[in-house]
Amino acid sequence: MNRDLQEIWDQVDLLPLCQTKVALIEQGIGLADTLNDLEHGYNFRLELVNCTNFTGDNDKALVAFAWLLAISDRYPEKFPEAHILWSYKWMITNVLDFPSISRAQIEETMADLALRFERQGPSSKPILALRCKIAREFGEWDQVKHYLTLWRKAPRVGLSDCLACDRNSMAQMNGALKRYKTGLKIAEPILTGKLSCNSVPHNTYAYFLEVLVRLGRHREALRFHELGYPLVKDDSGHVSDIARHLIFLVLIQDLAKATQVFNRHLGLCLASRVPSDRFHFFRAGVFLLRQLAKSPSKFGKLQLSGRDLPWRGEKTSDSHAALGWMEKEARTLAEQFDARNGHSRNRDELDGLVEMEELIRPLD
Amino acid sequence: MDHHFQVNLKGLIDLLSNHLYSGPEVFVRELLQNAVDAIRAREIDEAEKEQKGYKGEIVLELIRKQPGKPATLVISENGIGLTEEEIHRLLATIGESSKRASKGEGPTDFLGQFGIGLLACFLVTDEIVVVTRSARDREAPAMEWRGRADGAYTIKPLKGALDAGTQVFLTCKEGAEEWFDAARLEELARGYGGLLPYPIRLIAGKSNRQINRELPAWRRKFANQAQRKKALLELGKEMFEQKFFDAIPLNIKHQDIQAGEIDGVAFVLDHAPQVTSKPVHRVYLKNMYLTERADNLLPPWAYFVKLVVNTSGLKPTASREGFQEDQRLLKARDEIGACLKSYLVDLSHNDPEKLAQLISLHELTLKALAVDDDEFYQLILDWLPVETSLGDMTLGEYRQRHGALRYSPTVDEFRQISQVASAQGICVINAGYIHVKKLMDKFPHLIEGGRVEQVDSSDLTNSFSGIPESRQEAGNRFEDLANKVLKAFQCHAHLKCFAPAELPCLYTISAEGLLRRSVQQTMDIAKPLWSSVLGSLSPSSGGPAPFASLCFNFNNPIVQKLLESPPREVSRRAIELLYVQALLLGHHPLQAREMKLLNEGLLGMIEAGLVSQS
Repeated sequence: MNRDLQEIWDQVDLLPLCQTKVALIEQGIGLADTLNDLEHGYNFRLELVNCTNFTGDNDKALVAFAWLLAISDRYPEKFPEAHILWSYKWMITNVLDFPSISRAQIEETMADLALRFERQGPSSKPILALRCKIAREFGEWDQVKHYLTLWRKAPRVGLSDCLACDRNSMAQMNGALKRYKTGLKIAEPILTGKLSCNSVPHNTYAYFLEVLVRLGRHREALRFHELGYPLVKDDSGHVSDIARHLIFLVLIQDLAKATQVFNRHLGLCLASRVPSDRFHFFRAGVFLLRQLAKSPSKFGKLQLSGRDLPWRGEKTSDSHAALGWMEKEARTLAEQFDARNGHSRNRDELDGLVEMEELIRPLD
Repeated sequence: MDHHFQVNLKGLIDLLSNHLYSGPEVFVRELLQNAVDAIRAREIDEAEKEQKGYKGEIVLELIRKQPGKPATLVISENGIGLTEEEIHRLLATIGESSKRASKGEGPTDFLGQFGIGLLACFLVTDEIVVVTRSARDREAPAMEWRGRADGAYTIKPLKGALDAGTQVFLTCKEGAEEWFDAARLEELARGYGGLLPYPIRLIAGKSNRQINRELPAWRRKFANQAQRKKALLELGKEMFEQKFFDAIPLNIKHQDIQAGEIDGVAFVLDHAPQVTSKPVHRVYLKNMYLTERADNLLPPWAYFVKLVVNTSGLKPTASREGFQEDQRLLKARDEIGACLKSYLVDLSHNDPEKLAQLISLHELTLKALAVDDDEFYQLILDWLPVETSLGDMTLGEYRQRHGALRYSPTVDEFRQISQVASAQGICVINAGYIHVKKLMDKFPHLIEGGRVEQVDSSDLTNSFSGIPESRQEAGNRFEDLANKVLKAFQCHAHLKCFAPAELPCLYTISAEGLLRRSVQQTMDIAKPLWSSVLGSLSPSSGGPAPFASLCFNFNNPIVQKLLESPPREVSRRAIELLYVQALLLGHHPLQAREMKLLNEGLLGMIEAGLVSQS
């Protein structure tokens, strides 16, 4: 291996999952491509796809994956398809995050995945899980129930998600069907610490926060917040989960901490290139800013000054300008997603913030 | 008729040895734990009876009767002991008893773990003999329980008077000789039980001595801080066989009884560890050694220390080799983090030279903590080193010389502009390294009057001066030609004056531009499905607007010649080649059509040169 490539590879290996690692991997890709080193270009891109799962660079993951697939198709003996099929599952959830990617493209990609999976042997469980997630995205609830039942019953295969992820996804799918108690029951081994992986229980704790508040189990939700927020607070791949924690803090009227969380993550979310992450965070930001607008100076300083803010306003009313901008941005994103998906769920979630205000109360 | 599950004891032992316990040596820990639990139970019993003067003791005796015959290990203690009924109960309910113990019931705490602990002994012996007499029931006779690995056992009363307490006899089985060696036993007993508040005596041959005589260094009193520090560092050297930069005593008392106390030492490494490395610690629970893993006891930024720590309130996992992740653990982690932070804050006030040394070793840790903690950020910011276009310096030095913090958000962008920035005397921080960008983000919010400026490559080129008025017309013609040539590559051309003069042009591209370049590169080779997906990725990605720029340098001799020459084919070729050269200097991989430009451009120039010569 070229010495510079080797040096980059060694450094990549030592870094934790973070933006610096992504930048270094991209440097490695650039160098490998310049040297026409296909093998190392492949290995770096595979590493990038793995890494971006946790850094929120879903678009970069799609670009790298497309390259891997193309090379694998061109040179199947040297770069077997089986090596990248695991990552293909993540690409299906990634394409859902971009409303500019059409329904037809999503379905065609899913069909391509299914064909490749079947080539490796029986693969119904992971395929059914993905079909269920796509059906949920498009609001096809009968299909969701149908696939959920089949998914639960299908035998585990090599390409199935790990036990923790599978259970987490199933629990949340039940939550999406408003079967909250079933979802919590399925998630129990995760929530009691018996089952975990790199993304679970991070995502699980966050998902059930609002559910527990709606069920009146506030103290339990607080425990999930205390255990779950530290797991996601340094991770740019968990923006949606951070948004859920922010909403929870507003629901329990801890606006001081909610402001802290908002300040901490605002820069990251403004820079995010993932539309679904932006929607979730801006929606949560709107929820908070509307409450702060009612008592402007009471709960700590919003850190809104700085060069890169996309809104402009009078200094004293920066928060009003921020709220106006965020409402508009969230609405635009909701409309884009709903137009792609053929329903109004995202707009309803945004409008539903008004109803959610009735749930706000401090903890006893 | 009710049936009962038959437990396959051999299968259970296999399960324990292969899947639960880390190795056979845990039998020593289990025996010591049983002994400690029995002594504690007796302490409670004596207190209830208002009797004083009881002192718990543990004895390990290694007996070799004849050469060639297996050794026997006897562990004895003067704890609560067992009646016949209690022996039957603990053996009949192994598993259920641990449930009772988990509810924290007093005397049954001992019974709760006794059965499970004994099972671990089958890792090194085929037969366990327990001789015991109850301290609670003085009328009860001494009992002998003899159990075999195949699940069979006998139980009988013994004649004769025996002191209250329990003795466990283990005869070494074939292949387990390693664990019946005096030196090994001492090492294990001291390792697991060195912190226990009860004397542990080891008798082997003529040797008979207490192996946990001294209190650990952090629990002893010293005449002054210097002596204490010296003793702690010696402890660290002994425990981990390495020198440490410093030792931080930990002494945390929780208000909440459940979370218990934490005491021990955090040793500061004298070298920079890898961020992803998992150092080895020594963690004790209620003075019994538990595990070398403590990653969930430390905050994520604290990878610069090794811990020797005893906790009294955390819940162990089933194998008792780690802690459950619950709110108590979270609290303990926060407290330890606060201790470490307090140490760093003290250093900054009282020993800045030492802090500077520590920063040079553990820069990443301190940056991570500054990102995590606003108060610490304000304290430590000026100490933190950064790379800039004018060399390495601390942020304090940067602020003194340059005021507002100007930074490039990624290594790529920094690399693009660093040479040119330094030639103009502009100091830009490389914020592409881990944590630095987040430090920049917090600056205006936490530092009074603090200003930050993200320097894009376009900011830099916009700061270059324009060309002289007298050359404006030629300059405009050149820019028009260059923009026509580069339009296909979505690159905008302009002409400015900058240093160094040797550089004919500077190619700059934003992060978004880089992504669009990689999308285009991949679309060239991807199949139609994925090519279409990438094309849809961002609504603007397919548009024709330029996403990069090429700034030609008026001060460069070649650019000057281009300005003087009338627009010709060779001028076009030259612009194309300068474009490709700028890409290569910036380490940007060439797309297929750029490679074609390079080939055709070189060949064209060679041909033009040969033609002009002939």
